[in-house]
Amino acid sequence: QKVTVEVLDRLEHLALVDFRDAEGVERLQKAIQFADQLHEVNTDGVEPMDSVLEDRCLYLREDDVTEGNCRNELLKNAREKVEEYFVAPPGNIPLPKLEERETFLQGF
Amino acid sequence: ALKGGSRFQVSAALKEGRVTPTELCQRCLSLIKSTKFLNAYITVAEETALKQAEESEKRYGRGQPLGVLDGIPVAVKDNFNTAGIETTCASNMLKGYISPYNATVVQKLLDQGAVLLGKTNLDEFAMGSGSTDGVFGPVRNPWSYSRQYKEKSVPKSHSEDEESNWVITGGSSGGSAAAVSSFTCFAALGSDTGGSTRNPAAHCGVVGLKPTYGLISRHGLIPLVNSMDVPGILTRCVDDAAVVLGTLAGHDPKDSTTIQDNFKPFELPNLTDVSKLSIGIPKEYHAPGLSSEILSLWSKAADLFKNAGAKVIEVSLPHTRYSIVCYHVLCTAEVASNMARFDGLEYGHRSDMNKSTESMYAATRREGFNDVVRGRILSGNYFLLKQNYENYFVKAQKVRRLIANDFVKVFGSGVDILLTPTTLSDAVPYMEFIKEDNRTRSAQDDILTQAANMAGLPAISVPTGLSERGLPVGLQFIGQSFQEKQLLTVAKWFEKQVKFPMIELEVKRHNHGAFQHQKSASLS
Repeated sequence: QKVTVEVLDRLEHLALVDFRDAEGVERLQKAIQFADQLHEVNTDGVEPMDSVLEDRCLYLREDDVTEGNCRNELLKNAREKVEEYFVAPPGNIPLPKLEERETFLQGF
Repeated sequence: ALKGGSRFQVSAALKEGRVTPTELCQRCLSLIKSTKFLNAYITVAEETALKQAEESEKRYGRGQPLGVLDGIPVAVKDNFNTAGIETTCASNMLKGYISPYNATVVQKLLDQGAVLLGKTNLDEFAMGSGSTDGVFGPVRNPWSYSRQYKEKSVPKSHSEDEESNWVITGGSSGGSAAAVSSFTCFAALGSDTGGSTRNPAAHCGVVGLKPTYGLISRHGLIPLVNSMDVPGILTRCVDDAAVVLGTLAGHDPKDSTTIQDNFKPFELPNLTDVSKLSIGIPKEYHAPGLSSEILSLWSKAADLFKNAGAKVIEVSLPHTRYSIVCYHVLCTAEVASNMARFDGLEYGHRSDMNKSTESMYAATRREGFNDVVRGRILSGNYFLLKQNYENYFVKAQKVRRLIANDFVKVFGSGVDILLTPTTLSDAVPYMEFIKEDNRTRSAQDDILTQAANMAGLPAISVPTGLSERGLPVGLQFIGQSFQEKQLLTVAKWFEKQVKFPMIELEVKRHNHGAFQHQKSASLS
């Protein structure tokens, strides 16, 4: 069962990461094949495990401000900023569709 | 002359004034320079290290050292945040990133007066089992340059010799393992998600401890798999690992996944009577591909315990062979989520593409991540798709419970500690290692270490002997949750029995011709 171009395209959209070449797509195919071995295991009646610490209560601290006031420190690492803002390119513009995007998947 | 000693011994020397913190620091910095070809360090923080050493010296002068770690040179894997020092995760995504804060474990070391020499090399974002896939190049196993390895190597042509014959450190904490193994520091921090501390420890002949999940804070450790990551400890002997553990363990309000139980640092007793001990030998760890050498070493180790009066029994962890598959799904899924933060907006690499936010993110990530990272993100997203979520992600979580329960059953039946091999073979030459891709390698190499991360259990790799090729082989002890004291006590007993040889490093100083090997005398 090969992964369809539609799904590959969807993954590039969701992950915002590209397959780059046939090897990248093959890598995913192999990963799925490998993961399919899980279906050999009988998990009837077994609850999924989120964390090994599931029997304990996570620590919750008091809702008090104890740190902060480090705006300058944090802004230091951003490449594009204006005064106290991180600057992003225009939002609400979806990634171009497959046909219009520069992606290896175009030729697929 | 100091390099062979364990940290305890060096601490004594510092206290008695036989060596000063600045001398120690300078010697380590100089050794780092002369072993540069190992590529163990990404960043060497020379200035700050010397300053820390000076401060330490003042404290010793006043007779007020902060503790056993005061003045001790340490190294930290480059996926821990260090304030003012670049943290790259060996990725283009974080090249030039200077963190504004210290990871909790780093802060704890500094608070005890440890001298931070630098950040060590790893696989990009800790994804890999060779320390070969980072942007700063692969780490070389110091044992490649040992007399022990060289005398066993079949000489090819003289020019080929060292350059093509060197072996990998294992990974992903290879830089840290190499740093400790080559005496450039006394202890190093690694991380362990699937075996990343124990694997290189075994290949580099050092002790690699993976603590129980929830014992040591992950705050500031750039996350891979939140439900499995732990900071790892690499040292030259088990006692040292216990001391570092004592400094690092304990609840951290900044990491809500650390347990709130009071942690009491401990000194390891010198166990002499093992007759009350029950050692389990999981038969599934006799995995396909396990070298006959390691099988034999494992068997000898079991006999060692038996002959000393311990109860040694074969046990079964039936779901062992699924732990790698399970890990593969859970890891890629959590990675897909954790890597989403790298978008170029607030830190790290940012692409020049500025048509839209989404296209900027996509271009940034295209430029910043290597194949391995991108591959895992895409796989993870696949398993998390609505149509796949139940069949892959939730299924893997169910299998995880089965794996964890296997251990519960075995420990519940009266077994105290499990004894297994750490790796399938000794370290392979780099040229051979890169013939297979990262995922295949990781799947093969993590087989013996991964299940402990699944179940959150503590595990330690102890250097046991040398292979026929003159390279280190380690064996692994897996303990019960939060029973590090028992685990380390047994490991220490074992370490004493096997008397693993010291590396006889032959370091050439290019300017001054051949340099005598760094054979070191301990100080005690």
